[in-house]
Amino acid sequence: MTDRVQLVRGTLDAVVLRALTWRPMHGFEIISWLEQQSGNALEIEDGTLYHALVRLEKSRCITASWRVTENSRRARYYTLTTKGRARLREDTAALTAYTRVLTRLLAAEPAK
Amino acid sequence: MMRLRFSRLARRRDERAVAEMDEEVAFHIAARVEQLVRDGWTPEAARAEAMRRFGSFDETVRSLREEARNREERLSMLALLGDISQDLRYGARQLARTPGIAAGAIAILAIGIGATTAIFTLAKHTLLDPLPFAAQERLVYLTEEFKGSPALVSYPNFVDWRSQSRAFDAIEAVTPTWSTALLGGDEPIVASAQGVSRGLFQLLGVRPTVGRWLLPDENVPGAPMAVVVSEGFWRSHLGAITNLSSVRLNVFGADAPVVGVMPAEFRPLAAPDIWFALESSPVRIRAAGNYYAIGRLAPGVGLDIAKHEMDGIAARLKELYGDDELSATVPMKMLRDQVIGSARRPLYALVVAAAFVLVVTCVNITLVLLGRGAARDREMAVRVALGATRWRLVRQTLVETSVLTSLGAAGGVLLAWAAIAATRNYGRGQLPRLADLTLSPASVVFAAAAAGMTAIVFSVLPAWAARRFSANARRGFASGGSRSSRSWSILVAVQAAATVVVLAGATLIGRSVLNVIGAKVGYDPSNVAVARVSLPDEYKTNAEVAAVFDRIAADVAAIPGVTAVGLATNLPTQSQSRGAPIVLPPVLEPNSPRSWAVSWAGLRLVTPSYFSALRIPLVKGRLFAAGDMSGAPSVALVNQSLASKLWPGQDPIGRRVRSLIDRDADGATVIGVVGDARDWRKDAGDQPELFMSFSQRPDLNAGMVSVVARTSLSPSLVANEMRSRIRALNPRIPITLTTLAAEVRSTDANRRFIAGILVAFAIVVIALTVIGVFGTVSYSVARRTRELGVRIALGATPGGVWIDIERRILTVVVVGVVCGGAIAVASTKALGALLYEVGPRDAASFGAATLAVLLAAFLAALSPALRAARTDASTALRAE
Repeated sequence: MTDRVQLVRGTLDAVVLRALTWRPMHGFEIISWLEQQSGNALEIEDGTLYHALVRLEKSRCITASWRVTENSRRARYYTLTTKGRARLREDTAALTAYTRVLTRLLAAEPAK
Repeated sequence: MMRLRFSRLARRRDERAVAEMDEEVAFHIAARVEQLVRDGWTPEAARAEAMRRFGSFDETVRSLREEARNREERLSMLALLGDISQDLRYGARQLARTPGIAAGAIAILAIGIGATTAIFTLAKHTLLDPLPFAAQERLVYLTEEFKGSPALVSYPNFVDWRSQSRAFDAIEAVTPTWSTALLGGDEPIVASAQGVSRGLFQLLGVRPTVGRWLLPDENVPGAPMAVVVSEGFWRSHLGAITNLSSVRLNVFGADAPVVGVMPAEFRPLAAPDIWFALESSPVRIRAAGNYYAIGRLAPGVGLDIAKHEMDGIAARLKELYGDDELSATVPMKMLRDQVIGSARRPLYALVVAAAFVLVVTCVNITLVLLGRGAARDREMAVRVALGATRWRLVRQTLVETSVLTSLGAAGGVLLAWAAIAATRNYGRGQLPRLADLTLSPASVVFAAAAAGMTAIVFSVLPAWAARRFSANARRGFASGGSRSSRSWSILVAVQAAATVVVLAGATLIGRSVLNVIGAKVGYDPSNVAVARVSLPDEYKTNAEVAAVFDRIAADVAAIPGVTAVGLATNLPTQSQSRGAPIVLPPVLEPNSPRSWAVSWAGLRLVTPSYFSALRIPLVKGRLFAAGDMSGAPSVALVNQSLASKLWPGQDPIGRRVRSLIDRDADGATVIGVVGDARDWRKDAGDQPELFMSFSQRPDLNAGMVSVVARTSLSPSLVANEMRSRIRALNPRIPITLTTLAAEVRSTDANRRFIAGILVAFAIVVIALTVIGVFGTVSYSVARRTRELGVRIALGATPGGVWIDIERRILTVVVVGVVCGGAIAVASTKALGALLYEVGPRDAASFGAATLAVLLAAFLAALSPALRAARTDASTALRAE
């Protein structure tokens, strides 16, 4: 049980970092980006994303600053740091390898 | 105060984190609602949906707020650490840019902190740390008073004190240490022994490491001998054996079982190798003071009440036994004060000197750092202009000085450690309880505290100066005003004052040491080998004893290079000189009152060649001769001091004299007068001495004999040869070797030790003063380049500029020197007994100290002042 939660959490962190490689975004933009990119296949509670953001900021993978949106409202924008980029590279490599192995295992024919 | 401020800051930070999180969540919900409404939801439904998608809303928000608080706390901590590490790197770069100043500052701190830590460790160890005895706050040291000065108590008086006193719930006695031949260990040696009275162990309450203490019934007249040994002796000579049942030693010629081992810290007024029961054969002569008395005050009884009671007892005893010279008073003081004894003053002198060294160190380091700070005020001003807060600048300074101080303190602890190790090794015997001196954790804490305090001082001062940076910046980098130059002057003056005090003290002590070393001792200690021997009890009759000593003298005289061999019961360098009241016959009983004595004199039994071996001149009459043997009429020699005391202006030859030690009531006839030879207390002046013939009076020989051999070769080589010759004669004779010169040196060691430290201090402070003055003047000249340029342009001569600069700094130094001189005059009296043939207000010493400081200041200012005098007007004016 615990393993899966951590797995999900780790995955979410990587995805958030990935989103921020395009440009600085606020929380809702990141959620929207995730929903669009996954074709709404990914079901995440919005609060979970903010937990991830706090976590990432605390480990200094991202920094936050208040800016004004296109609709002239104050929002907290997140920017990827050097440390965040490094973390994204590592996570991407690990997750890709993991998915490949998992796929191969699950697709394997039963032995005779 | 700090905590409060930090907690307020923390609360504000938490509030901001929560508010921001709330705002962020609110923004998110609003954006989600907007999106849903665009997709065709009603506003109410959209709002409910947005909340649902967020998760269980209240709980999630609550946990997000908490996490946000944590995040901010961590980030601010990281930011502070980042700033500090930035400060550290910046500070290190700044220090590296001026490595000379940095190294100088670290060295100054290391020396200052090291010296003070070592001295304070020493002082704490000897002055403050308690004795290892039970109820020591009630332990009192008691003496008799004879002819106005404290004297050891006699056994009969001690017994009366013990039985009559109520103010003390116990009074016990110990002897000074006596030398004894000790057989039964690894090899025959001469050991030191201390007699103790029946209840001493209960009184002091120290448990034996092994075995037991002497039992009360082993400490009564006629009880068989039993001994307790010290831990040191037990380890070095008994192989630390834990089963004592078969260990026996031959002590004072008697075979005795070893019943116990006492721990190393057990030193009742002496540190002997063995303890024996003194009450098994006490000296029952009321006029013969032989014992130290230690009393324990009854609970609730003060020293004054005890004194009153003891004075009453003394008065009754005086009336009973009619001893006129014995005062009806019992001088007493706390045992602790007696143990520290004469070391107290020198230690206080050192502590005070160390305090002054610390002052000079602090002032100096402040001058160095202020100079650095001032040289950097433009940099600081730029940083203020770029938005650095004052707190940031103060922190920067604090970090920089912390780096300096930590390095300095580390160096200081190392130095202190080395100094303490050296003190333990070389100062042994000069100060009480040195053997177990170690760099205690407390003294390390002391070093840390000293370092911390100086760090604060250094940081606060530049920070205080930094307050003016912004103002200076506005004034276009105007140079420091009169206020800063006044504080510089005060610092330089304080430094000069402290330096004079240390220098004056060091000069006085230094001159005393030279006086003592150069003092005419009346004998020539160079090139004399010494072997101390004690005969085992196989030599029973006086004739046997005389024969073996004759053999020893003859064998030693046969050693190549030996020119004269003498025997003596004790040498001038030995502190255990046997002395006794001198009476002029006719017959007196041994129990006679001391008032009948006409003098007190040291008694030595010597052979005739003792005088030639030590080069003590015969002034009048003749020396002992072959005919002065056992059975012939008793003859004696007196030294000049005793002669002039007993028969002022008359011829002493042919007079009769008797030491109370001598049981022969007729005494001896004086046959000659010899020159005075100073005893081990060189500064106590010449003492009266009586000599009797070694071969004529073997009955007075108390056991220990020194064989002295004057030689044309190395005395230590000859000493070794003496040992092999005596061993060849009889391997059971205990021997200790030394040289007379070494013994003379060791009697001066206390003074040399103190002098060595003070001279080191003097060198340190004068070096620091030179650095301080040089730095100050260089800095002030650098700042005044422009002004000097103007003055030179207006016609000032280089000589005038030079004189002006020297005059300014010397004025400040003179003020300091005068204040320092006043402090020194008031404080050098504390050196008291350490001084020898130098007054505590010796004008020459004070003059020398003053001159040295002025000269140092003048020379230190010379190079920067000359540089200033060479200032080129046009360059100076163009410079800024």
